[in-house]
Amino acid sequence: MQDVMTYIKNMMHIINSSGQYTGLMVISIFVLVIFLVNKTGCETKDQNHVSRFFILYGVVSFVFTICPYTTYLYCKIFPGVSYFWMILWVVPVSLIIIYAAGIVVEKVEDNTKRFITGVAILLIIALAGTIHLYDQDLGYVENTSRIPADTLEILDYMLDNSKAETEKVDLSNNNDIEAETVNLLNNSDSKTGQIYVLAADDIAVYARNYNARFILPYGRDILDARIIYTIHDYNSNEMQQLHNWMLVPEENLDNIFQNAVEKGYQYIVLPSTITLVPGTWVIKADGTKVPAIGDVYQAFVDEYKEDARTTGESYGYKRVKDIGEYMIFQK
Amino acid sequence: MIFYAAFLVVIPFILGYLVTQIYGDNEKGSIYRYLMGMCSLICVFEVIAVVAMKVGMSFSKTMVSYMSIIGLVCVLGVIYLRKNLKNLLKEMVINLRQLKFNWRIIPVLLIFFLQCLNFFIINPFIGDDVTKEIVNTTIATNTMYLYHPLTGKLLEVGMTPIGKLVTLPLFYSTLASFFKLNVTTLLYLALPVGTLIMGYLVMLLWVRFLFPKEQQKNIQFYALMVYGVLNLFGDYYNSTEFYWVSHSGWRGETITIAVIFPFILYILINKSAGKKRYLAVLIALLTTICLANLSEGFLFCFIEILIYFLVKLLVKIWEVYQCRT
Repeated sequence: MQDVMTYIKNMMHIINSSGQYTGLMVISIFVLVIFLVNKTGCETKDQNHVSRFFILYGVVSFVFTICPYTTYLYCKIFPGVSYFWMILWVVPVSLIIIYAAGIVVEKVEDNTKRFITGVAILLIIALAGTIHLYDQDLGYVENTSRIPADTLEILDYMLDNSKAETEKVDLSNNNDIEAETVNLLNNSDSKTGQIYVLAADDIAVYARNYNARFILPYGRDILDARIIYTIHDYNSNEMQQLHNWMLVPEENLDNIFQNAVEKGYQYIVLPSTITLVPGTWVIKADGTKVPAIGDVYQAFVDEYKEDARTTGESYGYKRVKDIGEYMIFQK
Repeated sequence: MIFYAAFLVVIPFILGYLVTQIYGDNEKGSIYRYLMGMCSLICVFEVIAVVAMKVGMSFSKTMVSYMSIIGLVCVLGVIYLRKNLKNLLKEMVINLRQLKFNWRIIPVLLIFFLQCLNFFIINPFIGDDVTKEIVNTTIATNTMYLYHPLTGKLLEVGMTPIGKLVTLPLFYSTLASFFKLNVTTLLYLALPVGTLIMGYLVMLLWVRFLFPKEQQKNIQFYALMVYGVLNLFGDYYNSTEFYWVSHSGWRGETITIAVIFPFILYILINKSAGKKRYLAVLIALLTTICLANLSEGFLFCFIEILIYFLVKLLVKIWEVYQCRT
C-alpha cells in the first residue's frame, strides 16, 4: 500500500510538472460545487438533476482516481497494466471543465463582463498548459514519412539497392496462406522482396514503421517492454545478446559480423564513429586472420564456400555508403 | 481519399439511422445517429475479423467480405428507410436554408484549424504504439496477426486471444488497402483529424444537453471553444486525453478516451430512449473491445458505468434528502 501511495504521489508530481492539468480539474469541480450545490428544488427531471449528477460524478471519479485503495485494487487485478495515468482517464476532465466554464460565463449577466469573463477563463486554461504547436520533444515534421531525414535516407537507400530474394515456396496447396505469404515476401521482384537488416536502434525503430519489407532480428519492444505485451513472442536471449552487442558495436564487431553472416542479413547499419581498419577483419574458416583485399571491408569468410577461399574472392560485407552519422554495409 | 471520406461520412450515418431505428431511439438527432453508426461500423468489422482469424481467412478475403457486407447492409438500409431518409434529407435542406450565420463559430473553427495544423507540423507521438507496423505487415503479408509487426518474422507462439480482439489496426489496413491510401497519411493525418471531429461532435451533443435552452446557444459555442482551447493548449504529460488527441489521434485508446467514453456517459445520462439506451451502451462497449486492449478501453468504460450507477444512487439520496428538508 505504501508503494501505491508513493506511486500516486510521483505520478501526480510528473503530471503536474507539465502544467496545471489536475489543477484545472479540481478548480472546475469546486466551481460546480459552489455554483450548484445550493440549488433548491427537488424536481428530478430538470436541469438541476444533470447538475447534481455532474458534481457527484466529478467528485466520485476523482476520488476513485486518487484513492490508494482503488488504485491498489486495480493494480492487483490487472498487474500488467499498473499505470496510474490510465486510471486518470476515468475522470471526464474535458466535460467537467467545459461545464464549469459554461456555468460561470452564464452566471454573468452583463454582456461586456460576460465577454471579459469568457476571455479570462480561456486565458487561464491556455496559461495552465502549453500549446502543442511548440512541442520540442516530438520535433517538427521533416518529410511526409514522419521519419528523421537521415534515417529516411538510409532506409530508402536499402530499399532502392536491395537484392531480390528468389526463394520460392511450393504452392501446391492453394489454401495455404502461409506459403502464399512467404512467396509474396520472397518475391523475385526487388520492389517487394524482404530485406534483412541489422541496424542501430535509432534506425531500427523506424524501419518497420516505414516499410514492411524490412526484416529485423529483434523488435523495438526490446527497448520498451510495454510494447505489445499481447504478443507471446518475446525477444529470445540470443536476440537480447545481439542487441547488447549493437549497443556497444565498437567492442563487439567480431560478434556482430559473425552473427550477421550466420543469419544472412543483407545490410548492417552502424554508427560512423566506429573506427574500421581495412585488412584486419578477414578471418578464414580455420580461424586465422588475413589482410583484406582492396577497399573491401571483410568480416568473415564463409567456410562453406571453398571456391571463394581458393580464388581469394571477397566475402562478407562491403561498406557501401555513409549517410549522416551512420555507415551502411551491404552483403 | 474522396471515396474514403465519403465512406466514413455516409455509411456510418445510414448504419446509425438503421441501428437507432431498430432499437427505437430516434430522438437524439443526426450526430447521435452518426456516432452510433461509427460504433456499429467498427463492431461489424470486429465480428467479421475475429471469425476470419478463427477460420484462417486471408486479409484480402476478409476485406472483401467486410466491404460486401457493409455495402449490402447499407443498400438494404436505404431501401428500408427510404421514406425516413427522404424526409430527413428534406429537413436537412430546409435547415440549411434557414441556417443563420453566427459569428461565434469563427473562433471555434479557428481553434479547430490550429489543432489540425498541429497534425501537419508536429511529429506524431508513437511511443509504445505499433499500429503502423501492424498495418504495414498486414497489407504486405496478406495475413492477420500471423507475423510479428516489429520484426516481420512469422510468429512462433502467437498472440493472446485477447490481443487478437483488438482489430482496429486491421480495420485501418482495410481502409488503406481498399481505398489505396498512403498508410502514413491515413494514420498520421486523416485519422487524427477524424478523431478530433468526432471528439467535437460528442462535445456538441454534450453542450446541447448541458445548455439546452435557446438563450443558451451562445454558451454552447463558448463551451466548444473551451474544449478547443483545452486541446490546443493541452500539451501536458503524455498520458492526458488532450495530449493523445493532439499527438496520437489514430490510436484506439485515444478514440476510446476522447469519443467513446463521453459518448457512453451521454447515452447513460440522456434518458430519452428509456431502458433501450442500454443496447446502445452495449454497442459502444463492444466498440472499445475492438479499439484497445481490455484493460485500456473496455475496463475504463466499465468502471465509468459502475461509477454512473453509484452516482445515480447518490443523486437519488441527495434529492430525497433535499425534498425532505
